[in-house]
Amino acid sequence: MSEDRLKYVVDMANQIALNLLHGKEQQQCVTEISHHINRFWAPSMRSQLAEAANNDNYQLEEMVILALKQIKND
Amino acid sequence: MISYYDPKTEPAANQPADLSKDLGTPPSKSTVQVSVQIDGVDIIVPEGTSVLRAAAIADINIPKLCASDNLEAFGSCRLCAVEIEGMRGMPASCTTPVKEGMKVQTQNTKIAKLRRNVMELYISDHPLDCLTCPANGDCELQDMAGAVGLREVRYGFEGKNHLDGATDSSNPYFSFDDSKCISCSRCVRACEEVQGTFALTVEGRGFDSRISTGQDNNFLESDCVSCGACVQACPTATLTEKSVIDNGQPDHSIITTCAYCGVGCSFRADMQGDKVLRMVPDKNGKANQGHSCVKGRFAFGYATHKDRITSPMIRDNIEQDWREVSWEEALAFAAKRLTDIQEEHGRNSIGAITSSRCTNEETYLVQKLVRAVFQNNNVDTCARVCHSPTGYGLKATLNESAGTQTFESVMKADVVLIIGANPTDAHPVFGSLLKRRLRQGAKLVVADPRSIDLIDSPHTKAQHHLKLRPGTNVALINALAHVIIDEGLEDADFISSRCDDASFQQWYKHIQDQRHSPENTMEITGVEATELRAAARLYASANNGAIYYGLGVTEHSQGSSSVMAIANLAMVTGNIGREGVGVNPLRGQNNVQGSCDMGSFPHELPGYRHVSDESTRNLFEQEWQVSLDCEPGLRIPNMFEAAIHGDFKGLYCQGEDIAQSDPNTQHVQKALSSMKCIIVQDIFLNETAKYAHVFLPGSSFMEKNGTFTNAERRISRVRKLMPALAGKEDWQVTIALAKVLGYEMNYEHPSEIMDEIARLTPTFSGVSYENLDKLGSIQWPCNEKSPLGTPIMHTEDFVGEKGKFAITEYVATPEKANKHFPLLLTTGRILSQYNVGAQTRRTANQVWHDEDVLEIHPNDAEDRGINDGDWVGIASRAGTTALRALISQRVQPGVVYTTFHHPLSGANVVTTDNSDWATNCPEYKVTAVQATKVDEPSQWQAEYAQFSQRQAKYLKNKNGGQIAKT
Repeated sequence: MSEDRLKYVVDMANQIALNLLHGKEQQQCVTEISHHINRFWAPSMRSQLAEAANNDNYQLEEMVILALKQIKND
Repeated sequence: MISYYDPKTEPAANQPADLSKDLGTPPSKSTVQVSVQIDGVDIIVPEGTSVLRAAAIADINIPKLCASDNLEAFGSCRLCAVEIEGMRGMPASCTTPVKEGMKVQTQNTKIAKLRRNVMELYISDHPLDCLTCPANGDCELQDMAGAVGLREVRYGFEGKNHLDGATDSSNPYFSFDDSKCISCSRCVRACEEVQGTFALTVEGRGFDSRISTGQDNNFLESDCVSCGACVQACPTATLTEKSVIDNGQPDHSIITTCAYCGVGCSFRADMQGDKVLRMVPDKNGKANQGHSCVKGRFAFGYATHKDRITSPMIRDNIEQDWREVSWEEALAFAAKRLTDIQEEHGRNSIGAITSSRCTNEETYLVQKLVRAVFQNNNVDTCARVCHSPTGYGLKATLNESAGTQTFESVMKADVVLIIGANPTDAHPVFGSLLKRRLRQGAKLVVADPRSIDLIDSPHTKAQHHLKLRPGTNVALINALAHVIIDEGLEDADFISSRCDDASFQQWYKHIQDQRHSPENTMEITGVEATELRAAARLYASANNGAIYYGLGVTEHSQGSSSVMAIANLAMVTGNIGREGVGVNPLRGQNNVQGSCDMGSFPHELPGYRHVSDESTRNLFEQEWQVSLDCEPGLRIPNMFEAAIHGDFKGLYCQGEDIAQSDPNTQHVQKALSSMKCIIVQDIFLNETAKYAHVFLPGSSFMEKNGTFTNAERRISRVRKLMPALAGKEDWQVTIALAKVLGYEMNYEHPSEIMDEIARLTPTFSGVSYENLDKLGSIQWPCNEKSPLGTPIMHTEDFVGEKGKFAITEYVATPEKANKHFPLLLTTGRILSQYNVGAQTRRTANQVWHDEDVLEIHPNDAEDRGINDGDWVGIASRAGTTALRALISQRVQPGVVYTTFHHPLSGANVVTTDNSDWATNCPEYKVTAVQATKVDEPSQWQAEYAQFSQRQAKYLKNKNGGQIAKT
């Protein structure tokens, strides 16, 4: 898997987190991030996100890391 | 055989027989009814109705020339004189309102004599060339001369007259023949009252009065915007369409819907056989109420332009000649390629893009093809790159992905807040309606980085122009909400009764924080705190406050947040659920709303129901007899990314030009070049088709039946005016493609597709062609609860739920200006061109805008030694292009602006991959750039020009080329 491809989904996930993390408790924020990604992302993109999470070259926002457990990855 | 629908001869069952009748003066809005007697006939009409109109309603037709029911009564022609019991003389019936018990006589010897005398004076100064006049048969002056029984002109034609008046033919679509003008001033009043441009005036007095475009210039050089209102208003041949002058009068008419912007104007297509002679705005069209703009009214010639491609073509790769083939061969070629790709690369390696320029029925079929035949959810629509944040944001807050009002609703607004929209250019007919309301006294607040025309037009001025920095909408809207909370201007009753308390409390805590105050956001937005506070007070204090927004809201990295922030603003002030208020997205293209409604998004089936919803999926599975994927598919930018990385290999693109319209052109080109099979279905060989392997000729809106849904959720009929030039209508092509892929779609007519949509979609369950013909148009939801449709949404609840406040924190875009890219580029549209220009560039609209230019502030131009008309290189992190400079105070220092109507301009070579966090809608509105004076095109422009030349050659060789054996 090309690294650029993973950066693409990492940037998207981080951007989602940055927009959802305000004014809420952590759990609500994590739920909203995972819900959003499950609802709108194709499975292939979710798999790439999981792959990026296991790759030290990518920096996922803390909330995204917490949300990963709730993000579907078939 | 085409079945014509002519409302003049086939009135719908519940409509008056003569829909087009001009009743002389506008209707009265009074609720008090008065009884009058006209020629012995008792009539009850609203108080304030003119005698002329009351008589016309009773089918007593008083002769008239200066009166028209879309203009205020003027009383100048004196032809409509009547006698009224108890009144002296013979008053003009157009300026005389009815009174209880009034007795009117419209015909007797004395009145007839007066009318003949009046007409005699008119005709004594009018050319007697009726038989060779272009208006022969469609001339009110001629009709009235007949109606009053004029038989002689005693004054002769030798005296002083206007018969040598000059003709102004400068406008490409109509001419002004001064010799035929009767100075009734209907054109002047139409320009003022209907269009709101005030381009025309009556110059001189008495006998020397003449219609003028002011300052002694001609129509083309004047302020005229070519909306056609004056032409329509003219009762003689003075203002006449050139197409009528050249071809004569129409022989029949068909009502249809415009294929340009999201206003969705209804038009009467005046025809000669299969040829469209002219498009006249339909008085009964509820979206446009008889008005039009230069695009819909005149720019329809593209449909028969020589560039139309009417035969299918195929080729093995994009550096080969096209080969013209039969439909069967082209479809078989396409099907084999798609099948081979899926076999080699998997089920998810292909997809499709639907178009907001196509009908609901066509869009529905393309998404059905993807879901049922491709067996995945890789379908997206061009709404991705314009209003996808509207779909997301309004669903999240108001529980429905659509605007809340009718256009007419603006006539009850007291304060109008326009954010990131330019209605007079992009939605001109709504722009005119809005200007009419502003002239009546409504107040206007505009939030836009650029000075749009509405801010300072004749007789309309914005109370506040919040000239924010590009990319700071959320900070600005939050600040408006903060002021409302801070100053106790919220509508507590509405919030407690209509909104979800938990979400409100969370939002309230968030928004009252001082970081959202105008004083603290001033540094972000650049908008003075006092001005912003005043604007917030004005909106919040209005009896009816309405918000209208456009792509200046959605096409940002926080597009969805901005839409939700707007919904918050409307809910906190209680401006939802009645006329005069609401949240109104101004959709860019004609069927953006419809393409979204029809399930074009990869995560939603028709009616905005998620693909993971089992009961919805079951419904479609039963109807379509296939199993459906429960996972979302790829969005357009995701498709590009997957293509570049080798996972996405085949694309069916109907009616959309992604190579020109999508951001970061070079990235798009790379994606398109990576695919094995691109099927383009279009009326022209557009920019995307240069990367295609299969070209399926499309049909324009004139060549098919269907429906469009405008920005008001109004579903209107598109009616076939002429046979499809390529032999197949677009919906038939999709059916044929499905068939060769092994799936039968059995429809004989688009009405059957709509019947299926209605069966499967609760908000459309009452929609059918029969109902549309009966009602004219229908605003969804249309179902058992609302059988006639729903003009105003959320009157009682938010689709069965409470309104939800959303927290919308301002997050700065990653696209930042710096020393290398110190300016912010923002993009937009211009009145005469439409979207990628594929249609309007093939019309005479080119006379107004034949190239995209870069608007640059004088300070920024001076710093760079740039003069008006100089070539300017615009470099961003994505790419470089060159445009000619237009030095303008419309843009603020540090901001430059351009349009994207011409392919070689390369506006999207410069725009980046940044996109909305929730929907991936591109951030067209903020790109950090540098501008420098140059003397040659950019490398991209030079290379693309060469590429285009090669593609033109491949097209030219289409009958001689050989396709390689695979």
